[in-house]
Amino acid sequence: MKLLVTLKRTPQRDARIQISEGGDALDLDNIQFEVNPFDELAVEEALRIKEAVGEAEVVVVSVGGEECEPQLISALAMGADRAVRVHLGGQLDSLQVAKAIAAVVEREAPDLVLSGKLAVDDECGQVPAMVAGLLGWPQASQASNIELSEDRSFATVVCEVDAGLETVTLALPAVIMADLRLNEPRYASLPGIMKAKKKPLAILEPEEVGDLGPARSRVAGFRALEEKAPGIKVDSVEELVRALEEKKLI
Amino acid sequence: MVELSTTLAAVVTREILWNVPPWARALMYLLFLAAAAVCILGVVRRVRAWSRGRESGASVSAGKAWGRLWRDAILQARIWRSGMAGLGHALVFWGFIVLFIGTCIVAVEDYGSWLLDREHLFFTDTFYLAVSFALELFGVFFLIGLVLALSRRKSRGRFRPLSRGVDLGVLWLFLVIGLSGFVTEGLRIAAAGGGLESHPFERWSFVGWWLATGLQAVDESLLATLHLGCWVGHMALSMAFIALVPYCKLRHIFFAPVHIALREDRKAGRYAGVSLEEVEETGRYGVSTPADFTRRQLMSFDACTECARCQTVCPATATGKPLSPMKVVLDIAGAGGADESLHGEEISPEVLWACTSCGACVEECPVYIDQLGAIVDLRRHLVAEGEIRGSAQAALRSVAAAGNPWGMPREDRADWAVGLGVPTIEEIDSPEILFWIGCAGSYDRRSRKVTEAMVRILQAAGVRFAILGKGECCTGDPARRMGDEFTYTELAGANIQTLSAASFERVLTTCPHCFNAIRNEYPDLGGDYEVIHHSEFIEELLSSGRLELEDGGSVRGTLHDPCYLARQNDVVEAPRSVLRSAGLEVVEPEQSGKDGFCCGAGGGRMWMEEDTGERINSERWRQLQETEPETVAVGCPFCMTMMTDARDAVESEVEVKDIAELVAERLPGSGS
Amino acid sequence: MADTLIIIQAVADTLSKSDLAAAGFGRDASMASGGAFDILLLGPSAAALSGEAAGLGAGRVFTMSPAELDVYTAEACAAAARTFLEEDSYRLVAAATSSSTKEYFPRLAALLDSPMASDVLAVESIDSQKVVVTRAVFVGNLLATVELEAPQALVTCRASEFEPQPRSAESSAVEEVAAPAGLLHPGKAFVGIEAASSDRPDLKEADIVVSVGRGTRGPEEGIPLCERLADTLGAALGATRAVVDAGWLANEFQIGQTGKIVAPEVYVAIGLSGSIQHLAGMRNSETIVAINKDPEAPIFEVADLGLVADLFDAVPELTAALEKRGG
Repeated sequence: MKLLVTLKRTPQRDARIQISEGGDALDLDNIQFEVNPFDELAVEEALRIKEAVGEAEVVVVSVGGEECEPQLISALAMGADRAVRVHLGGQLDSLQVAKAIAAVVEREAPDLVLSGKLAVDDECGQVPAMVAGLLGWPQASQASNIELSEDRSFATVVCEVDAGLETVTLALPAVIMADLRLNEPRYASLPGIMKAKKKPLAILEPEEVGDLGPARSRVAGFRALEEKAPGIKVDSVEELVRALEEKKLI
Repeated sequence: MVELSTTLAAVVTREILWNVPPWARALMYLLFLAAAAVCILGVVRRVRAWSRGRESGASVSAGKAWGRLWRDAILQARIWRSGMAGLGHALVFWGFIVLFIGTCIVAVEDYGSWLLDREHLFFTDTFYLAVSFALELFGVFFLIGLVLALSRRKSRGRFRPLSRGVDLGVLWLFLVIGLSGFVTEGLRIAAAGGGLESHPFERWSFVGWWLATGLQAVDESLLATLHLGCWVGHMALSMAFIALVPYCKLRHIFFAPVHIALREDRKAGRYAGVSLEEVEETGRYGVSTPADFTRRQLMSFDACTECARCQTVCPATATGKPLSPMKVVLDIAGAGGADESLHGEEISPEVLWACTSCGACVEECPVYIDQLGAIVDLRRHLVAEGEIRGSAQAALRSVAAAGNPWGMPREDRADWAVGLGVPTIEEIDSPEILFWIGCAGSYDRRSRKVTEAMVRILQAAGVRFAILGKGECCTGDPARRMGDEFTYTELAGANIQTLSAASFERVLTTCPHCFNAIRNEYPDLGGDYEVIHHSEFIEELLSSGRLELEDGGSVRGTLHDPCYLARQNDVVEAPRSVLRSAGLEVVEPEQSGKDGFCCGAGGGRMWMEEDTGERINSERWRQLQETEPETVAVGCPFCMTMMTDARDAVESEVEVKDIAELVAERLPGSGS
Repeated sequence: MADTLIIIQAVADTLSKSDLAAAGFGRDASMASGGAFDILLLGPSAAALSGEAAGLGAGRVFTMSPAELDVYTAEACAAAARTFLEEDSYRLVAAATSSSTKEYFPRLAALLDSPMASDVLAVESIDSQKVVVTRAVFVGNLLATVELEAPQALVTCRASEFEPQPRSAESSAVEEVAAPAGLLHPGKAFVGIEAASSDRPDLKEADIVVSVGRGTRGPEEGIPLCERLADTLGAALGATRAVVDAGWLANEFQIGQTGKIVAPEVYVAIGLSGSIQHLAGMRNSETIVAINKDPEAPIFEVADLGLVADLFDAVPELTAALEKRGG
């Protein structure tokens, strides 16, 4: 069985992101990066499936320059078997990334593609569903539980939707997007990282993923949120009720 | 018909193996061979198991080993700490040793005289009397010790020992062997023909003599039969004991002294590091199977006497967690193959994560077992497997990425200092003190107040000090206690670079964890600095007159000793002296100083949920409240958090304040 | 000629606040582009909704109710929309952000080979070259201006940021569109849904939200007090991730970066500290009220009215005071 997991390199989740002078870019000089936490959930799930199934290969894929290799290695340290980096630079839009990944999927022919449901930097949440559309595969999003059938021909997924919990079945191959409560990822400690450095990390050149077309969505600039006027503290429930009345809220 | 060697009446001695017919002798030799074989087999098996461990560290010099043996084994020095339990063991131990020596003397006399074809060798006259008396005396000590041990099973004290089948069985076995020895002797003295008056020197064997006087009326041949029966029983039980030794807690008779003598020098507050190269080479990190322990560690686990004292002092065990240090040790000792994983249902992640690394177990163990070291080694394996989840994992990641366990921005580390006139190390040349703030003191709202109080104290005393500012990052203590040596080594390495590039006389810190790490553990990585805890430094300032405090009346209070300060670094008196100068009437709780009870935050537990049993901090709070304090003084940001939480949980009005805060309140002009 | 299409999922009997807000987006987009907007009601209750939808100022209202969409699946929905768009091309195709559009809209974008922007907060401009929108990034801490440069662009819009389109007197033309076949993906099957039924208003619809955090200590302790407050206010109930992770409330109550993003008139945050991820889900609420024991909880930094008090005292007191006033 082959599981393919896509991952994105994102800024450290607690980092304070500043806008650079001019406002058209971000000041990422002193920022440390990590594997997108949602993609980590996907990696962890793939590893759990591998452990349950016994024999499976977990391949992690990322689209980007050399700078995302530490993140791929981190995933290998968690236990993935192989990594693939599609060497593309510049500001790519979601569709381009999706097309690149779809090309890798066609080369690798995995049984299941796992991704985090969104990336914590741009929070677009588009790539995995786009991949599913490009491939014509069934998809499930906001997965909080995944169970494979005994014969591994389909997966039963519980999805956290607006109304509650929805259960669907997907015939493999399929694309599943991980949500927060899917699992708790294991820690990638240094012994794992050292073993990881010996695992294969293949680099695909742009020609190998075909024509992705031009980038048609780009970020033109950033700005900070407007400062909110400071609120007032009240000392008692009575005061609170009065304040709410004054604002005509009750 | 009883034989009496007429020559005996002339010599002061006794006939060895009197009344023991050849078949009984043969039985004795047979049983002895069997018992010895079984015993040796057991010992060899265990020693072989140790040999599957790793090589480790420098071996102990012969002189040091003998010295340790003399002190702790012969003199029972460490045992005496334990009051009545110590007395009991010492009596049993010395009793046993002397009785054993006595048996050896008798054996030598027996075989020696046979070999050299002499009537007697040396076991006569004064020597005989001296030995007989000594044996009698120590035999009595032996029995007293056993009775003490048995009666302690009924006590209500904190250290009430275990009363499992094996514990009672072993004591009763000894008791019966001891009593049967005296009874056999009594019977012999009574039965040896000619009446008691014919060998009055036997009074030196005063117990046997006393028994014999009571048996005067009994028919001699009956006495002889009884004597034989008793002798056979005593002999058989003794052989059974010999065979039993390696198969139960009694194995400590052999292994404890060996371990005590040859043990590695490990301190609870100073973990054995692991280098990257080592891990790369061996592909191994932490302990998964017994073979991953060092040989001496494996030996140490077999030294366990199953006294359960470590378990008694363990805060996790006391609050219903599945962790017991003794059980971990015994589980390892009793493990199957050298290559079978130790991790499983018994040594589960829950057990291993329950440890607060307080070191009470190590402090208490009478045979110097390093239970904490074993737990940490096992934890490291969990971390290597990625088996650290939830808030603990988040804290570990934050420490590595942001240099503090809360993931707060590095740029904000010195924000607390804004407006306080605190110079950084770049701004001041060779200050007397480098004030190491620590993560809590930099970022935690409550702990910042302690940092501020300390700054006021330093300024009031006119101390030339500086801080590292943003150049400071976590000492790595949380990472190390949680089992991630690599994050620890990285952080420590960075700090050592920063510290070594700076010049200052001493490092001052308000956090015992930082204190312990920089002082005891950084030297292993090349960072040797003089480090002082703020309680010690304030004491210095007060006694040298550099700091004076206003009088403000006295408040009744108590001190919760930080584990990493008192137990692991022997700083017990300084905080008390400082608190008294600050007007706190220090009332001691039952457990204080090196016997203090952990607040529950150590070992990385600060960042873990506590779902099982009672909360450790609540239990400690309860203990402290018995002193009826108005204020609970702490000397550590973790203890501060824990005690404050425990206080809030019961909605008490008792104050929780750091030593620095209490002192700062008494600074001249602070108008407390 | 309309250049914007608003797709509304037709599953309920009446249009929701989100649907009206999506129409509001349509109006904003039309103003920016100088054109008009159409509405596509897609789903089993399309016909039932058409009357209401016709009063929203759209150019045309289309209804499409494929049998294969009686039970919603992302694949079928994307295929249906794609079929529709093959007939009628639009400059801008939009829908309100929901768990459904999060999964089918990107699929649709891939099928159409058109770029997409997610969870947009405002339309900056639309011309023949580009569609410029504003969206939030980095857990809602920064705003990004995004340019979509293509003949067709897709957008999901954050309903709480757009004025719901009021009912207009005019009535749009309603056109039934033939339902295509072959929409179902053979590999996908809907098995069931577990939804909490409640008398309380829906979290995304409500004007007032009472949100509970870890400080409430669970369903045996503080949560019932907050529920009573919610009932008195006629409010919806929301929760932080911590509460859902602890199993105290189901996932549909979660507000935050990975839950629902809401912006009601009044947001009452009880016993929650205000982590960045939670703030991302509610910081645009009109009036934020916070009740928390800890005066330095981050929630007070965004609260308009803050009460530092023990919720176990304050919440019942507040409920009683409101009940006395008549709610």
